[in-house]
Amino acid sequence: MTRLVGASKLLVLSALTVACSAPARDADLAPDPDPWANLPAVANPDPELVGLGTRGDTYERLCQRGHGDAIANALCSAGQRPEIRGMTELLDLVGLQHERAFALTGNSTSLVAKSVSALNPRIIVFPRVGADLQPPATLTAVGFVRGERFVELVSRDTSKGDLNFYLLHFEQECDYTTVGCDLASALTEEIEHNWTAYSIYDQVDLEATSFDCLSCHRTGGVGTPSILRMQELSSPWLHWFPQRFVQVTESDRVLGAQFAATHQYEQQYGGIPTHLLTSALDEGSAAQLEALIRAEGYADQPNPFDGHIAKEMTQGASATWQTRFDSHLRGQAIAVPYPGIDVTDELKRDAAMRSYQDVVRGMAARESLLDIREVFSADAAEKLSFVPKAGADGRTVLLQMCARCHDGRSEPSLRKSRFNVLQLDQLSRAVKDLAIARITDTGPTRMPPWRNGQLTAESMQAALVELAK
Amino acid sequence: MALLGRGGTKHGPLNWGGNFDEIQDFEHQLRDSFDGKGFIPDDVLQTGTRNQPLGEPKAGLSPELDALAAYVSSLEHVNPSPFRNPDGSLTADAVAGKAVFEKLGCDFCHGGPDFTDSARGQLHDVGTITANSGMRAGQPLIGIDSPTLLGVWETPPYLHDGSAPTLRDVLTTNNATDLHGYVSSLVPGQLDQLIAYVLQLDGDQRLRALPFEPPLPEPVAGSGGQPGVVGQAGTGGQPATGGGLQGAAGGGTKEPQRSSCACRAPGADTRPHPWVLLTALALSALVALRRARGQR
Repeated sequence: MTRLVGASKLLVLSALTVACSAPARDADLAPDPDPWANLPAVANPDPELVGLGTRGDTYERLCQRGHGDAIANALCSAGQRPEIRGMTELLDLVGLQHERAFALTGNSTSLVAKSVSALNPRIIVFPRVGADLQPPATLTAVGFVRGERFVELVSRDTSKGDLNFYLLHFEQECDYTTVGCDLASALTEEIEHNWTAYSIYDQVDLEATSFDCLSCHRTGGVGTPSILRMQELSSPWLHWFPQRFVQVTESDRVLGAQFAATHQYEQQYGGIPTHLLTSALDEGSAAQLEALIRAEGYADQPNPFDGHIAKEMTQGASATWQTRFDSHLRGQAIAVPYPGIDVTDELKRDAAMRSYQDVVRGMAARESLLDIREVFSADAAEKLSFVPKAGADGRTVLLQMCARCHDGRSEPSLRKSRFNVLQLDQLSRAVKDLAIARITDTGPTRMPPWRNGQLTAESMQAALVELAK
Repeated sequence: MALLGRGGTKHGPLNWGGNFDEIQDFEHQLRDSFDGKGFIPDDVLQTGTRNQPLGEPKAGLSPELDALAAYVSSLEHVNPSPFRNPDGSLTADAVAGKAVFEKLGCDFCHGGPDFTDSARGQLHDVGTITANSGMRAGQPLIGIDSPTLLGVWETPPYLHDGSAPTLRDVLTTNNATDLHGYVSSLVPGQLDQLIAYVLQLDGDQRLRALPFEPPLPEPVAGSGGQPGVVGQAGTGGQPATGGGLQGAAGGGTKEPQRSSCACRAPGADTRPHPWVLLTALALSALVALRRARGQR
């Protein structure tokens, strides 16, 4: 009886609450003030992205384009800009918290290649595909590496059948300070939380920039369909981990251990709980990613890193890898992944790992953090084309360092299409002079873009001599 | 390597290196490995790219070789596994083993209706390739064609070099680095369940996977319908039950004793479930109705 009376009181109270709050509903209907409107400007914006617009402008532009994929749908269909406060929320928004798998790579040839090692891997989160290799109902995948203030996304456009690529650039409080975000905020778990605003760009926006998605994902050139890329598509997935599903690989033992040691004191990486990343079996593996790529019809990868390379490397060198690398040197393909498992220099790696653990555990000042991206061995830096091949002539330097974006496959109307390194001899004096200016530029837009690589003094001289011809 | 159940090239390329695309390519084995003269005349074989295993087709070049290929291609039957329950269903251990099989990703290579990915042309190194494993098409051998697991219960020894006497050896002693599945992560009972499942893979997967399917008719001795199985019935002597498989959990290397598909547990009720009868009745009525309409 007492309970019934209590329940009645509760009902009356609820009714009163509803009634009292009713007048306020009109006010609720008024458009919310844009929470981004009062945010300060980013102190050190990316010089290329800021030119494409930021925050609400990019959001409105994207939604007006009416893309028919799951990412555009997640962002635009509610008629209200969704809040994305971090990596976990982003995975939630694009439907990658359930029936998803993940894979991490300790070596990348992507846009973010120079940031990637097992200490700071690139994570790909994607829909799970079964052994029958049936394509998922929705294809949406997310790529992320710490140190970069953006997330790469791709989704299948069901209206046109092709892929749509996006770059979501996020902001945090530290972006508004005059000194900007420090290393610790960029490399630790801090970067995955407390996003204050975001800007969203699609492949059309990015095509003229060094973020161009299509330079790697539309290998056939203008008018051809885009592809998903996974150069190390097949076993033994030399740089991928965790890899215990189907078979346990050496990369899992070597790179998985480096990752686990570095990030053992953190809750998550790339929006996925760390304990899942280190103990994954079927939830995360390169085999799962291979299944997705095959299911989506991209089994035929350009300049692939196949099982022959790993097998040959057990003898100390790989003729197959050399052939692929030579193809890259001729400007015919992007770089091929490093032929060994580990891209790091042992001394640099150990120091970076210790520094990272100490800062994360609060045993060292955050200002003392070493950059865990600066761990590449000299051999890996050269074989991944972060620096030109030592002793190369100017033409080879230009082919190796520029062909990724300047090989004549991009939209002809873009300025960058005028500089085609595959046709150096046909370039006008004006185009060559512009190239010289960009190479010798000391500002943030110098070429090659810092994310892709850096010319040594010797290689720059060789390139300039070639361009002066 | 048994030919039974393979149906020739039904599962995909042939040979452990997957370097034959037709049965007639064994002309090369006959000549090169067995010192035979082969069936195809030398001058015919040397025409075009016929002298390469993956070159131009050899079918139609020799009646004898074609007849041999036709016979090998006719071997589609897979004998029922005697490790199953008497009614042909999977034992409880095997049902649990199926989940282990999928959790480890075994079905990524041994998947699909044929329990192999051979048709995709993919090769896999499960740790069995050595310096003496030879080449493939003039290149280093980087993997082995996945064999079907259907009927694997009767085809020991295992692995391409026959180095594993039992399935347990395949998964343990011959799998020290987990290249053939992350078996070291399993607790002993799970390994037994996995083995139980694989031992029960036979030719009736889809049929027997249906839970409402009435029991299969008992094989009749001497009928010739399932050669070999009835003959083996007397050799096992122990009914295939979950308990029997669990008995091997102690880490012994012997496979569980076979039982026969022909035996039935005493007192087992083989009457169809009333629900099955009702469904059958409804289906019969539907068929009769359609026939009647068709006659009109």
